[in-house]
Amino acid sequence: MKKYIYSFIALFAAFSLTAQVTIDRATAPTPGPARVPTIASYESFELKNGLKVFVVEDHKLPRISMSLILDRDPIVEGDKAGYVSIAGDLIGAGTSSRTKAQLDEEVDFMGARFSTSSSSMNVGGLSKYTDNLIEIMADVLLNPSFPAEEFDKLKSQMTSGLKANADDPDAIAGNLRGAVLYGLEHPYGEVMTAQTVESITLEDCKNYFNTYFRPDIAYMVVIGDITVKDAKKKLKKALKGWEAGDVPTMSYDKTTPPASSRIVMVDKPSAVQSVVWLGNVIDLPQGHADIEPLRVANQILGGGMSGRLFTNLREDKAFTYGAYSSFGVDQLNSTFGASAKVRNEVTDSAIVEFLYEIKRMRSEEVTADDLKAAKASLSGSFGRSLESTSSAANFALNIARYGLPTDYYNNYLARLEAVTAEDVMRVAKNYMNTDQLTIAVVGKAQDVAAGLSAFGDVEYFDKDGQPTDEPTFLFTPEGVTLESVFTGYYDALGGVEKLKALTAIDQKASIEIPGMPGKLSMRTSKMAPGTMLVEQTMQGMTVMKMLLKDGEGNKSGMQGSGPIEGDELDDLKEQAAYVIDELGWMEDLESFKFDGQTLMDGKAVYQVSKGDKTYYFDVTSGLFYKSTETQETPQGDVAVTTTVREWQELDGMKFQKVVEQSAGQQSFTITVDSIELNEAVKKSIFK
Amino acid sequence: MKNMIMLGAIAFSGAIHAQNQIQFEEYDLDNGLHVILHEDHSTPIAAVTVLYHVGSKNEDPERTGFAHFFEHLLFEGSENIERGEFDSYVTNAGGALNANTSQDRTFYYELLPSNQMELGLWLESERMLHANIQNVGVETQREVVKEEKRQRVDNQPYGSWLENMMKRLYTDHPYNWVPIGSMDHLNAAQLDEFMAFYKKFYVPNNATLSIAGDIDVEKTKELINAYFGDIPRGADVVQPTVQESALGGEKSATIYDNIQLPAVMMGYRMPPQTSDDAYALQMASTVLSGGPSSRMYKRLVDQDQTALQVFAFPFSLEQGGAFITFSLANAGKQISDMVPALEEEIEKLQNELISEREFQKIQNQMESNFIQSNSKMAGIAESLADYHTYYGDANYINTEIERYRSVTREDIQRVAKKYLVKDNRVVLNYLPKSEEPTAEAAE
Repeated sequence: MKKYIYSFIALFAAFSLTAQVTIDRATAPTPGPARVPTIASYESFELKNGLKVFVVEDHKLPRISMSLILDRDPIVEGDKAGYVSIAGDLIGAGTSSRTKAQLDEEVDFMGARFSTSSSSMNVGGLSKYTDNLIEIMADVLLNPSFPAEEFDKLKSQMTSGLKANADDPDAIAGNLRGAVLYGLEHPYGEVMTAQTVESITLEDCKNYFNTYFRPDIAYMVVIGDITVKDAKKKLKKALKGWEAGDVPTMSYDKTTPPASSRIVMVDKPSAVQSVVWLGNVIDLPQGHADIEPLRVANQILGGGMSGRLFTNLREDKAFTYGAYSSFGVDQLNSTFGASAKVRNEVTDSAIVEFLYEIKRMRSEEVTADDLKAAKASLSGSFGRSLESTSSAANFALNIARYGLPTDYYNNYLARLEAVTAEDVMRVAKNYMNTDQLTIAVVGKAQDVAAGLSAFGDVEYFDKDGQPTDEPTFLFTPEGVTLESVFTGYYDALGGVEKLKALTAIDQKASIEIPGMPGKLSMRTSKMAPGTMLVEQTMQGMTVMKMLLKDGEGNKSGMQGSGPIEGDELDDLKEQAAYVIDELGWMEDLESFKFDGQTLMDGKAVYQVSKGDKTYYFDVTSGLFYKSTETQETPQGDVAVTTTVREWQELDGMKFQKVVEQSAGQQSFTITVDSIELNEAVKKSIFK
Repeated sequence: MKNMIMLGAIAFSGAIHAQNQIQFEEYDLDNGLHVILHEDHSTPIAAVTVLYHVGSKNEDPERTGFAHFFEHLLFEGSENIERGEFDSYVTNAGGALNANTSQDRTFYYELLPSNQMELGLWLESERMLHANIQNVGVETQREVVKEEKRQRVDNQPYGSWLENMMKRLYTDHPYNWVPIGSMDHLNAAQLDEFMAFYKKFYVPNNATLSIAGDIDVEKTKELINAYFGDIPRGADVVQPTVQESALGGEKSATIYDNIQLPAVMMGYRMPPQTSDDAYALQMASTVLSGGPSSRMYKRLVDQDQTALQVFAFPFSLEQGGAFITFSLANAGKQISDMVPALEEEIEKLQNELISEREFQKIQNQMESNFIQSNSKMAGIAESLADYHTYYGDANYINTEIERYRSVTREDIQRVAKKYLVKDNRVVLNYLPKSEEPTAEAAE
């Protein structure tokens, strides 16, 4: 008997064991079948005055929200930038029967919300107040009073707001991006300033309201605890006096990307982080078939914490708290861009990584896993968005506004699923641009400009998006000395060892002088130690010739001939001491002074001076970039500037190729056509 | 006149709709893990959340920023989850995840398609059971957290105000510092210290697992048992019991920041968030700045136009906190233009009962907020866990409104007199750097 009981218990135990869940910690659990999320249904109707209404019933909570949205073309506000925005606020600041204070009191008393903007009006609260909320909205729409004192108040608040934004790096970045991508004359690029706000009048605001707040360009979205029937009845009654109008339309040319990439910057000397954005305008209207492929591409590149940008710039390099990419679809101009906030010292490195990841999207097909993961992530995000019934309302609105097929959102997941790896690469090539990019940085120029100049000449703007001079500053970066600048230069040229090993050089160059018909040729030849020839000829005729040999100097040419003596001889000897005469600088350090790091033509440069001559060395390449000096002439002092435009390589060393020289108003270009080195240089030319 | 009649009708429109009750089930596992489950099938999603009752107030004063730093580290992986994969599991499953750290708690969550709910349990149980904390993660996250601080605090106008406020408002209590903590402390911290912190605080008996959404409760319970049941219980976590002596007089400081508009922040010490007085202070803050008809907004922004923005809000914490007023000057206005009005409004609360009508208004505002909260699964899961942790009663999600309803006009006056006094406050004056006296002038 006992035995039977035991076996019964054993059987029971076995039963509960099979019922128990077993897990394997080593692998992720496999999901059960997915429930497909459903989009809440909506109904729509149109009032006689043209107002299109969408209603999404949602009786889960006793609340309601109503939003009026105007569908108008973008407006250029010009020298009154900001008036549309002030008008939007002013509309809600009183009616013929309610002061602003009364309106505020009524709304607060219901625990409700009410707000207006230049193209919308929103109310929301408990559904038991539905009638009151509709009545308030209708009163504001039909009888706004535009009180002058409220207008003045809004204007001064707007001016204060500009000041509050003046130190906000994100606000500055927004201005910069708009101004650079679209231009200051474009509705998306114009920038509000204290001056433009000052010139706004009350009349501007009234006109705006009367022109654009019209039911025939408006949509009303009602969401919440109300029936379609009630919504129709109540809105019809409340808004029957709202009259349709003849609303003007505007059109704009599509903005195109710049011919080549630009790097633009606002200097914010107090910044401890750079706000970096890089991107471009794209041609991608609502409903376009490339939207889903681009969504997938964007998800893989920078859609979230699993994106390549986040993984690379944060989890691998720790440059930033977060790096993302995104694209915005807009009927006038869509944009694609990537952004991060990074510490000053890695600003340029961060851009390198951004470019690397974007290029990778364009050149390598994404893996099947990447593709699957991105689709899953996007589907999930779509599913989560449906938790809020406002998503259904937004879909309905978009379908109406952009003329999308009525099943556009119902088919979203299917379109997403159909995206292939080839699609992703194709849209990356189409919309993720790398050679016509705008790279926009708001940060501390002193710390970051050096690195940025590697991407091109930096253009500077002020916080209002206006072009401005490059910032002036001179500072001593840590660890940089006169010797390190010279050493860096020698290294950039090929290294001291190589340079010192040179025994002879023979360079032939041609000089173009604007306005002069003939071509001037110049030959500069040296042979170590201490032999040097400089000869200028025009059409075979010697214009000038200088020869240093055996310690003696002689010159000949159109200005006569004779020995070179005194300072002129010393100068020539100094130049002849080394084949690369800059090698002599190291032995004469006390004559030079390291002034610090500054900016020159958008490049970060080290500034070194010797007497009244100033040298600039490119911080990024280490190479000599420019020198300036003042020379005395019979016509007075003339500023002489020498700029190296191009370098050429020979035997692992760098030599100047194109040099621009200007003296006063005159400027000419020297192009080095040939260089011979060491044994190739014949002794016989030095005579 | 018509409007007034309408308002009267609203005030007496009878009992307010009962909020939809949030149904839930709760229990403890043997190891002390508290579990709360809320079932709602409206959308096929589930929020899986774990709240650890550890925040910056549990930190060693020489190691501030630890709790928040830890939150970053716990995304690094575990014995079964490779470094960097924590996120990809969730994202690839169509979910979203994140975490946040306050003075009092650290909160992790995954929002998942409901068929992937088990994934959330696996990840969270791995996080609790055997997080993998290694040098590479520590070094990377150290830099990431520094960037987070630069982004949120150093590079943000007025971004340092809370840190400046709390360090003056509290001396001995760990509310003296803010969750982001000290970068020097983080630099100094060693790997073994992180392990010790994990062992001490990341134990099931210090955690609440709260799940809301499209779940089958019975099945979920079994899974929870399987994933979390064998995680060993840890030593009891003792919350700090620092008794801070009275502030004993107003403290003030001037901070020169990269700003153009001056701002003034006044912070008053508050009683714990669960106390009756904290609720009365919450009501007081609504009188002062709840909506455009509130007293401070109307006075400073609309009438005097000395301020561009003004807020009063209780920064309520488990063991106290701060009642804050934050006032940003309009262009051309100074702090001295705003302060008298701010003080008058506080004094008015102390000297007079608020009117019956105003009282009705703030009650309506509270009711409205309460009824409209809890519309999303993530918020419900979080609120349930919060209420359980701080109040010992998750059902506060349904009943907290009673606490507000029991506040009287007299209570509001009483707490204004008791807490909103100069001896109990810190005043921060934020001024543009351009107004900073030069070193010579200061000497």
